[in-house]
Amino acid sequence: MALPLHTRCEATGNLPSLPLKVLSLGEMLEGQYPLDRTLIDLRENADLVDLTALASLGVAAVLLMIDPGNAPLPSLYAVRNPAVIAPGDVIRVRDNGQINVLFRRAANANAVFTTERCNSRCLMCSQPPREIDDTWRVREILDLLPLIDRDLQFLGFTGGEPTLLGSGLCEILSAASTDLPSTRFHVLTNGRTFQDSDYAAQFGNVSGRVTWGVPLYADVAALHDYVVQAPGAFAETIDGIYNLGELGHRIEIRCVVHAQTLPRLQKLGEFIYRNMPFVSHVALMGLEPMGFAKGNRDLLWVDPADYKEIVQDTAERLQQSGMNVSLYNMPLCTLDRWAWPLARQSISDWKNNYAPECEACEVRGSCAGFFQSTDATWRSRNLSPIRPTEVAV
Amino acid sequence: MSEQTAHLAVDRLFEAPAPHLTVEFQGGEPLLAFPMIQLLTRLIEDRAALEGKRVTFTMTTTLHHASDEILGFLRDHDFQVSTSLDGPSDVHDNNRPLPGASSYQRTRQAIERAKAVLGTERLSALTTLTRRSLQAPEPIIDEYVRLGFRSIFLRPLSPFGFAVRSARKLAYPTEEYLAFYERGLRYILELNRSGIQLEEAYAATLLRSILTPFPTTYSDLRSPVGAGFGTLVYNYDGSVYASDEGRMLHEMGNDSLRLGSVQQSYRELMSSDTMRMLAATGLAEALPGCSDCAFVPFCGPDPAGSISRSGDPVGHRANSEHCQRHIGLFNILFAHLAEARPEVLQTFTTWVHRSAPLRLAA
Ligand code: SF4
Ligand code: SF4
Repeated sequence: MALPLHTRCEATGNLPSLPLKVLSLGEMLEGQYPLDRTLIDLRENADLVDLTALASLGVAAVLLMIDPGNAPLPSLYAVRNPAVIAPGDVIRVRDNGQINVLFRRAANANAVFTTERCNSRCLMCSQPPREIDDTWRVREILDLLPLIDRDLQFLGFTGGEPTLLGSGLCEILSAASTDLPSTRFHVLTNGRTFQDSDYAAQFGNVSGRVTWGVPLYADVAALHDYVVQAPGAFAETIDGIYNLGELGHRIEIRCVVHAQTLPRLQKLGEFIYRNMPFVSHVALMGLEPMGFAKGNRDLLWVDPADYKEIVQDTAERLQQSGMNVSLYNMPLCTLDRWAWPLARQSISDWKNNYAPECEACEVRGSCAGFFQSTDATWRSRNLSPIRPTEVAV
Repeated sequence: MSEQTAHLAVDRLFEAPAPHLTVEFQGGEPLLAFPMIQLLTRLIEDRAALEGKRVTFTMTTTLHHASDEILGFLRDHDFQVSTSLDGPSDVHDNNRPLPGASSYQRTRQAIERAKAVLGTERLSALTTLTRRSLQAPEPIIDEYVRLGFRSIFLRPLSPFGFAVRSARKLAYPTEEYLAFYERGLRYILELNRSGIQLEEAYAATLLRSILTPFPTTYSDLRSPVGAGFGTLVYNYDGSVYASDEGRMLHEMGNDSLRLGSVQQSYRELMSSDTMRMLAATGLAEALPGCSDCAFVPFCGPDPAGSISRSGDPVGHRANSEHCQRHIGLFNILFAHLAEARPEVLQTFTTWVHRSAPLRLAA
């Protein structure tokens, strides 16, 4: 199931440091992508192809099973985990032979990582930020976008806090909407930067194409600010939501359910309905035990069996009020059956896993399952396979 | 209404900036002028298509004159039809005596015919509550359930028009109405608890203001006032009024809610002295009494009532029927909300959102 997004390989020749589109020979011939940005996957048919001819066409590099020796163009070979790369993907190869998959054609979801920096320090951050200058990513993303499949339905942007790229984020989203004319975009942001209405106004040309996923952890400032470890964040986020809303942007509110957010979750639901009924989606989310979440387990852990009632009640009220609600990262066996229609298979496949118990489960095919990092200590005591007879109800 | 007046009224209608218009035909009995309704419907539909506006048609009618041809027309043009049903035969016939016949029987038959053509979704009924009706809400409510209605509107007799003339026979003090309402609402909540889905429309309207962030569309409780700002009435003689009450005031010899005539432009009508007066006095939050009232976020001003009672549009809350009635209704509803019995809250939210909670819908 969970296929990692990186591996290693050997390389010869002078590889470009730009992102490369992996293509089969057939797809290369369709001519959709610039040849000097393509890596032709010859792992299954190397003997049928004249490498010199490919080199003279201007192809960037080839992907082979073994060292070709004296190849006329740059080559990658001996990929340690061959399944990590497939035609259609876009990869970045570092000098040391490390391969990162930036886009995977077969994935259930693709996300572009925009920056490691953040202005909040959420207690449960699964991707702890680092204060480094990584603005080089803007250039790389602009190089990546034209290599992504043009018929892609959905592309996410994460971080870190993408708005810390300033106008760089604007540039990225404008380019994305040109390069991928029918794709819908989703940007995860804490929304604080949008308190500046001039900044929000810069995104006018992508309104309608982007959904902004903004976390809100409480209906009161003190608690939200505590969860995100940033005084004043609540007011900034609320202002940001209104600034985006006023400009007609699509907004999704996200709340991670844990011991800090649970006590006021129902009130948060009512707050959202009362104060921002214009948001297009509300997602209540189970915890991903990664990053800070691991170290803060004592502050955060609630068995889903114990939060089920409150989560379901909050979701039901929002949904009855006409809001769009989803439950993310919540295994079906930890929810009441009537709430199953709200549960989504929300975990990206490269980090999605199931417990041993799930083998015998009838609804595994529609269950979110677990993060790879969700070991037994983070799973609910209610975890138990659903039997066929129960499903027939 | 003459054809010329009809054309002018349609012109005015489409000069209003609203993208979605509701056109209500009322009388007298509108079906006595069916050819005029056909004409207006056609004019309005053509114009709406041209201007890219959305129009909803509604009609209040006894249905007694509704032939299958008429019903077919109402169905084809997607009318929401509202008829009068005051309760079981003794109540209904007492309110609406017909020499030598039972108006109840005629209404029953008309409802059955209308349901067959229009379907239940497009047909609703309004009760007129007379002094006689106040004796007991249960039989009236049962009658609605029996005829398959999903909603009943327990509103008191309007202090206007016909009602004023027969006031001595039909009218009643607000306290009596409120006692009736409280008992009726309890009964309806009981019915819902036992699985019979019936909405009380007055409660649903007020609760929608209380329990949602959205302003009400109910014209009587809007602030700024619904009259003129949310509704206009085009009379058959070409006069334009801010509301139906304005038309009734005119019949009582008072033209304070008349804006002018269909021959004037919408702009002119909307900047008439009448509209200025309504703008100056139509904000509940700024009216004496209302400005300090706990219920003002859910309530609205009543200029027509104040004019009819005290001759000025501001009026005095102490002797305002509108105020007494709504304070009473809010007290009843907030008592239920405070009591917070789960099955009552569930019924309320189902009314407010017009959808059942997921765990029951599944
Ligand atoms: S047993 Fe596994 S697959 Fe089945 S509902 Fe639970 S978590 Fe999902
Ligand atoms: S209840 Fe009475 S005082 Fe209060 S807002 Fe309504 S009309 Fe005004």
